Amino acid sequence: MNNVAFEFLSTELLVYIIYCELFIVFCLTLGFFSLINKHFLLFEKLQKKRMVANILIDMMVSKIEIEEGILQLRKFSKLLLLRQMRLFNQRFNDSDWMLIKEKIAKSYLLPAARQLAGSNSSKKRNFAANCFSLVPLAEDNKFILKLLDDPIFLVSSIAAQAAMKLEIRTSFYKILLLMSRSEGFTYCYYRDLLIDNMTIRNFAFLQKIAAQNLDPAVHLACLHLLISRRLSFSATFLKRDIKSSNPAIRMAALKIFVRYPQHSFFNLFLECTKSSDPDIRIEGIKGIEFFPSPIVYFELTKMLSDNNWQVRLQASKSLKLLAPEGEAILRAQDPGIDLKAYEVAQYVLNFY
Amino acid sequence: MRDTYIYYSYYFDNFFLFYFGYINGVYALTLILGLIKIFNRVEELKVEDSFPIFHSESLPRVTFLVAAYNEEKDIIQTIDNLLALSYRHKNILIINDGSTDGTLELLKQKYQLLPIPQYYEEILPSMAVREIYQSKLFPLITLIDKENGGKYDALNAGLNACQTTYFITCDADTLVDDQHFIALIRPLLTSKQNVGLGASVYIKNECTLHYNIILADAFHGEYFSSMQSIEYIRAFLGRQGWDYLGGNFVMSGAFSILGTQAVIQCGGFAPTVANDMEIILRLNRVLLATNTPYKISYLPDPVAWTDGPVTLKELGNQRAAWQMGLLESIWYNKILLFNPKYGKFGCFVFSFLTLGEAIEPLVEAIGYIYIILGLWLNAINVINLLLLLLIVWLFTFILTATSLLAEEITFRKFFNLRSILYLLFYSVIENLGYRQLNLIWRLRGTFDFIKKILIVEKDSKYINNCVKEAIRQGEIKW
Repeated sequence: MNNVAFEFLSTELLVYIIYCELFIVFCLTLGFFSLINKHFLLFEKLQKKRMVANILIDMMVSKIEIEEGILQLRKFSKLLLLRQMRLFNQRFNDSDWMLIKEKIAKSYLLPAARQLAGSNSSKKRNFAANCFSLVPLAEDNKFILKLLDDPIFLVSSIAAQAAMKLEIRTSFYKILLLMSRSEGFTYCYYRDLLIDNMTIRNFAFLQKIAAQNLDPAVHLACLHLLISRRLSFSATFLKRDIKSSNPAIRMAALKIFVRYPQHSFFNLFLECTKSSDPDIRIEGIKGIEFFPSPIVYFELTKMLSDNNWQVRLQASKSLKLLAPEGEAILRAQDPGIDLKAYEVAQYVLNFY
Repeated sequence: MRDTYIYYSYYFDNFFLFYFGYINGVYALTLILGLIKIFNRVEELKVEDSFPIFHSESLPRVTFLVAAYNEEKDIIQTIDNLLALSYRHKNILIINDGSTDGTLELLKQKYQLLPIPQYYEEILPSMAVREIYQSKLFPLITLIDKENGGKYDALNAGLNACQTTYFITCDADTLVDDQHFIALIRPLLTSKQNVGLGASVYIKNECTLHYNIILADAFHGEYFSSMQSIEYIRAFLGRQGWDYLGGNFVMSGAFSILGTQAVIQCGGFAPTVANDMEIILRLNRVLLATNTPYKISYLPDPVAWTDGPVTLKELGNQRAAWQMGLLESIWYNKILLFNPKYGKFGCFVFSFLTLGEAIEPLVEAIGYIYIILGLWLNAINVINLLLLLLIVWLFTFILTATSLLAEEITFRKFFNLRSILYLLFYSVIENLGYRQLNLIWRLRGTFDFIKKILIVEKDSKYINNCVKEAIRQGEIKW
């Protein structure tokens, strides 16, 4: 029991705790001093960035020889040089810059990248991937393919860029597999990368994979890529996919039909406008808008009264596109007869 | 009386030792874990490339829900800030919650708002919607004009109209930092399990907006702004650590990203001031009960900057309201307390929220009374008391200074040496007056809660029905 209150801990122990806390405060003070130092260090870093940029510019405008420039650049860290070169690469793509970039990379960056490609540190592997992406060379194929399998997205995504630039045979399929296994941002990233590098050869390869009807996730990824390009092709596998039990595959197949509308699909689109799923009705409307005819105007006008706003909106937008008859139909809507149709018509006339 | 005091001091001393040891131990643990998370995040940011985010055509849309009540002073700046964000795939949904000033007219004029038909079904109950508008100049801006019902009601009305997978709650006086917002997109969209994502919110009272990047370059060290800045920096660092300990119990209503369908399925926002905290508690409760895999994360990136109260009265009202909101949120979800069915969240996170945050003002007040009584009865070891107070004071200072140092090493929003010195100075004097004021305000909030208990219990029944309905529907999707 206490003699008085606050005697549960001895004075010595309390003093000891205070000493520990004061020691921590001392460390924090050192931390703040180093922060002040860091402000100056950051300024120094900025200076170095400027110096690297100046040397690169001098090389581009032939103020100094490339070899001399590379010698000067060796004074700076590889990471700093790589970051500056990436910034330059986003802005320049003329032959002078390509030559300078290749020479710097071959003599200074790529040897280090090859050593670091197998590192345990993801930061170092990211550095390596960035070097290969900056100047992709055929001799680095094996490193790039290895980094493509990296579990860290921030490494494999950069390696994927390098692989696409090199048009490595297996890379397209590997990235397609990565895409099919991903979700969210990662899915969109790989999709955008494949779409941006959709050469005729890749497109043909994509159709071949889609026709084989492999794993549903891969097949769906193929369909999402096929939606992206407006090229004419005959794809008999789509007739199979439109009847698929997988709703995502059915929808993707329908979107491709809409993207490449052909007269033989008209009845399919018309059937879709009567579906119970509003998303399918919307695609059906997008399809029939390519074939203006009295029956299409009739169907679109009917759909202005659909229960679903998005369906009504799409019907209205399609009618607006089919001017002047379509627009006349929109202007003719009467709030007294059909308020829903009138409202959506006015909305599209005002905003689209 | 002195003898009685000394007799009971044995129990009180041990209680206070245990209680404050528990709270400060948890704070220290979350601080250390928070530091680890921040440094990991900064390393990630260094190697991240925002280029694909700027140029992608295929990223999903997000909707900013901006609830506004009498915000004619700030609303235009807020909306312009959102419009100017580099992330293109966005909608901006303003909910005018029955403003009596010129908020609506200002918005109508500035953005050429035209009435549009109601294009959505009202799933969540809210006060009557008078009119819906869309901007002719910027079609991504929609405005819902409705009867006044409070922020939670406005957000529910906005949720009814929201058609994107994720929505972002944003106060009408909050500015979003472009650079840091872009950096949030990848972590948000990388995993479909993400149902919520929070980020740090700082006080913008003395800051400037420079090409959509917030700079604390004009920081003059005004007392209330500085104290609030310190609190926010410390709190948001601490919240990082909770991600490792079973989950976060709050995301700031000034800026938080949530899954639309998940929130609707759980019944929308609750009628409390702390609706941002309550929805997170309820989401955790429902998602754990339905065994839905999910993640609610916190990133340390300083994305949003909001206005803090500048007068004593406003600050006092805010803190009292927060305390009341905290108690209401806990009351609505009291089933979580020490309930092993809810895993780490129920047994550790929610229990700390209740014992460490909610009842702390009461314990602290009892502590003050205990000390004053002891001094009056000359029944206290004064030396030990002073040493203990010094320990508490140093500990608070260490927490604050560490948070500030971490912030400066990583994001450097207060890059002016003078700003840092101001903040350090105020962290030294925080325990002399400001802390005691906070205690009084929080006690006021506690008493307000007790006075309102019958209404709270009625709302609690409504919330529990929403939860039962959400659980009955099975796996929550978003």
